[in-house]
Amino acid sequence: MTGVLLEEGGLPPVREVALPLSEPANGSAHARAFVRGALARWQVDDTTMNEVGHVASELVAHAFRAGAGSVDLQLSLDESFVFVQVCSRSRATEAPDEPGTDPAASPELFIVGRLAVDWWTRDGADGPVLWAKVQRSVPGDGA
Amino acid sequence: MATVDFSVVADVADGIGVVTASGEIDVATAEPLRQALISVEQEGATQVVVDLTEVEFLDSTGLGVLVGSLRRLRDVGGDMYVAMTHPHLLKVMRVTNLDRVFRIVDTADRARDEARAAAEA
Repeated sequence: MTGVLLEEGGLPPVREVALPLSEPANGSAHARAFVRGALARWQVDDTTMNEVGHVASELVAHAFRAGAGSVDLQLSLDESFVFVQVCSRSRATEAPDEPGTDPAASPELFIVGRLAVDWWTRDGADGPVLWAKVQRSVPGDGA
Repeated sequence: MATVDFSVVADVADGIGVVTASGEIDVATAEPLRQALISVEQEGATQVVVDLTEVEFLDSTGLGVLVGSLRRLRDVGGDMYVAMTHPHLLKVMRVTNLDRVFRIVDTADRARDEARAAAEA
């Protein structure tokens, strides 16, 4: 896993972590691995882990496709939800193929909209800032 | 460092195309899947089985690859039969309504049977 794991808050438990990502080619895979590691430590169930990993993967892919050169992936947790935020930290040197954050034109954001209970995106100075909230599954709900 | 675990094999037998993938399909690995699908289409297969029973992750890019191939196949009177079992993949198909678009079954053998029946019809 690339980057430095930043942990905030007291111990135990840690409920907020962040990971800088700077490799567009493997950014989504890094994001999923990061989510799996963090949510496993937080003892989050597999169903939620899969959904949060998918949302993070799509958000990171979208940010890089929209022109980010590097991004910060942030995860936080409360009793009911997992929050995912992807902040673009620099512009890519080459122009993106499909800039913008129109969900209608973005397959990544379409999927995020289907898996998250809430989400938004806004333009930042260095590319999009993307945020999503994923419901933690209740054991036995068949999600 | 996280790398994407992915492999794909393509074959055509008795006019049925079979593409078997394993691992994770995302923006970094969707292109080999697309090339595998194109290769069986170019060999003349119009009924194509896509075995995703060993696939653990499928993102929007991979879904786009499958949809593109399905459109090409249906344009020539063919179809695609997708075998998948991972609960999250099935959920993604359901929430995107793609479960109403693809013929999804739970084993590669069943997908082959359906493809064979369609080819013989």
